[in-house]
Amino acid sequence: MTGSTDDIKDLLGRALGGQEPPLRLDRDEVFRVGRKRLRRRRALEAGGVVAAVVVVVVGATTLTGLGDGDSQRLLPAATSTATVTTTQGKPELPVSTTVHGPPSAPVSQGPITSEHADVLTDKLYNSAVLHSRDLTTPGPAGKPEFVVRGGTYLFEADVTFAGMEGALQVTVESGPLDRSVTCEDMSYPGDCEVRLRPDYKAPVATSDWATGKVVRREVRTLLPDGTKVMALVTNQSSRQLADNPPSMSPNPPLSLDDLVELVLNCGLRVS
Amino acid sequence: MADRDAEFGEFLDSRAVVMRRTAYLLCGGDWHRAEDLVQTTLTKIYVAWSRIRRDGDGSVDAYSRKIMVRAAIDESRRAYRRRESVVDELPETGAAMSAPPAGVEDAVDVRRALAQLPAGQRAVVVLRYWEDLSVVETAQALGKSEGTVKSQASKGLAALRRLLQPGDLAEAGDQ
Repeated sequence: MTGSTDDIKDLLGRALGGQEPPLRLDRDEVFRVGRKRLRRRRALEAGGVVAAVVVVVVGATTLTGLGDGDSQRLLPAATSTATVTTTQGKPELPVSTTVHGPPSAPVSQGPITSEHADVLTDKLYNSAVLHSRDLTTPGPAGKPEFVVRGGTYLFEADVTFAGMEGALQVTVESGPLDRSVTCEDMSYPGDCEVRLRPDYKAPVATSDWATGKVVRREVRTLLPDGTKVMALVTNQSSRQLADNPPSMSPNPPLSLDDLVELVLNCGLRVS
Repeated sequence: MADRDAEFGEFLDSRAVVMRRTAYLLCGGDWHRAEDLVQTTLTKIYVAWSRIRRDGDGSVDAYSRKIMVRAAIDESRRAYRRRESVVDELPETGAAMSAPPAGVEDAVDVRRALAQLPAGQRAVVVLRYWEDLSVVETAQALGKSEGTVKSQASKGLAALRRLLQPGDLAEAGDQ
């Protein structure tokens, strides 16, 4: 450098002239346009998250269906006699609970582990609701327990109480923190209502759905910590389904209030 | 949102005049375009305000320079000047008939010379010699290599030298 950069700065300063015109910047316009763009950006970002979740849910559902037939089982009461024959007496459970209701970002609450599945099993067995009920496994002999299916803890059992038999399914998984449960979340909307009572830890959606002799009772909740719990019971156990012809009980062995107790007060948490 | 607006409002009030001077040089000497450029820049800063503030105090100025200089170059590329062009001559008014105030002719000459530089070269010259940025900082602001910045600064100064009277600009530059 052979000359002073100050000379250049001085020269550029001369371009400004002696007097600058008054500043005519529209301050309000800056804020107005800025806020508008900010809102649009946030809306686009929120849309991107929803789209990503939809892709993940749809992809996971598709892959689960292709790779693991057991995870797509349906409760026996949902099937016709003809369908029962093709399932070889094995009760089919509802499709993953995540396929229903509006998509929303799940809350990450740590890994899903078989150790925690055992914890959930203990909590369920110690609950007042199931304590006096006879529980048997719908599959191979053994004590029914929570198992890990994808990102969900899944419990399936046949339940017998007071002469009634039925199939019970309970799922525990991560849910969104930013919304409450609605009837749109239900697998079987039926006669759905959302209960919000002072003694409840969170709103609970319940549905009592009957078609012909088949009765399904479903209860869902989203707990304040982001745990999503679902309990579903029917009036047909796997044993009844295997009968020839299949039989069923007049009512499920658990009431809606029993299911509410299960999802709210058993201590079922995703982590 | 209220805190954000208050904080950004303080920034706007304290920097708008300085930003307009830089914008004026970047535009080749046009106060109207300079104000448009500052308005555009401030709007973009408002949208990114939270992120910029998280990066630290120094990043606000760096970000605003980057936004402004790139917006100025983009505007040039869009042939903005077809809509509003810088006039070479001062408008003929009654006052123009008399001798101009001291420094006016000088200012017109420098503005005219700046306006004749390509937008990229002008941006390099303004950032390097008006904003006192280093070669590295200028390169970062413009998204160019340091070699390109040195080359454009050299060409820009040579052009100014050629356009202005001898003596206005001493030999200087990034050799």
